[in-house]
Amino acid sequence: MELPRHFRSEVWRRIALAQEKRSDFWSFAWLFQMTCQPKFAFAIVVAAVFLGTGLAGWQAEGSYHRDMAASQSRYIRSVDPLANTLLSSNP
Amino acid sequence: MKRLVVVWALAVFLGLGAYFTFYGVARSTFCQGPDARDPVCWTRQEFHLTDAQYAQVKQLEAAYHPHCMEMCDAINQSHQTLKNLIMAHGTMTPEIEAALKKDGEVQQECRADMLRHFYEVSQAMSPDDGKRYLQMMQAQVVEPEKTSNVTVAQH
Repeated sequence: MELPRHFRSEVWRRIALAQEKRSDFWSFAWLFQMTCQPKFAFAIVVAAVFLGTGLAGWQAEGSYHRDMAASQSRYIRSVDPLANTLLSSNP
Repeated sequence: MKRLVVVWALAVFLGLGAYFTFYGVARSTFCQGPDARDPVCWTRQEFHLTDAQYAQVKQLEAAYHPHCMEMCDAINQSHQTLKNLIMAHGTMTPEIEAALKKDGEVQQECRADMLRHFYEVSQAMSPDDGKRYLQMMQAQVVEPEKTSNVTVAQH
């Protein structure tokens, strides 16, 4: 069976291309290219703002629930003499 | 390279800015916790009390507080007597039995007074919230040791 005329050179060209693509990925060239495009740069900044806001909302809600639980304990201590007595005997 | 640094620095800066701003706004508005110095404040937020209801609850709590302190003293005294008697005798004596009985009576009296107070407070709330309040507080009366230990552990 006879191979096409540029078979060998084509194989080597494809191998070189694949290696170049792989090294591009790990050198984060895609990241450079992305930030060069205004719409992607804008999207990155907007995503960071959304992430910050979401994280803040989540943490504020967690703190609120912790505060409510602590307040509930304080209220119970203020009305339950037994809880109060136990607390003063187990500081 | 410069562009990359500028974009990511801006993203980090604005992300942090958004985090701190939104956290501050949330904690001072819709995620604001109750006043830590006022234990009754919790009822206002948890049961969505109106100003009039809250004033009534505060009045009930203020009236109950001195009695609650008296009950604390009574429990402490009863426990102390029991402890002293247990350590003074090497075996069960009629004195210890009497002290045990008295200790149980003191605790039962406290639970009854506490339940009376819970009923009064629940009646100052709307029917649904009053029911929910009783649901939350009944454990203090039914399982005082268990819930008190939880309260102790939370502090």
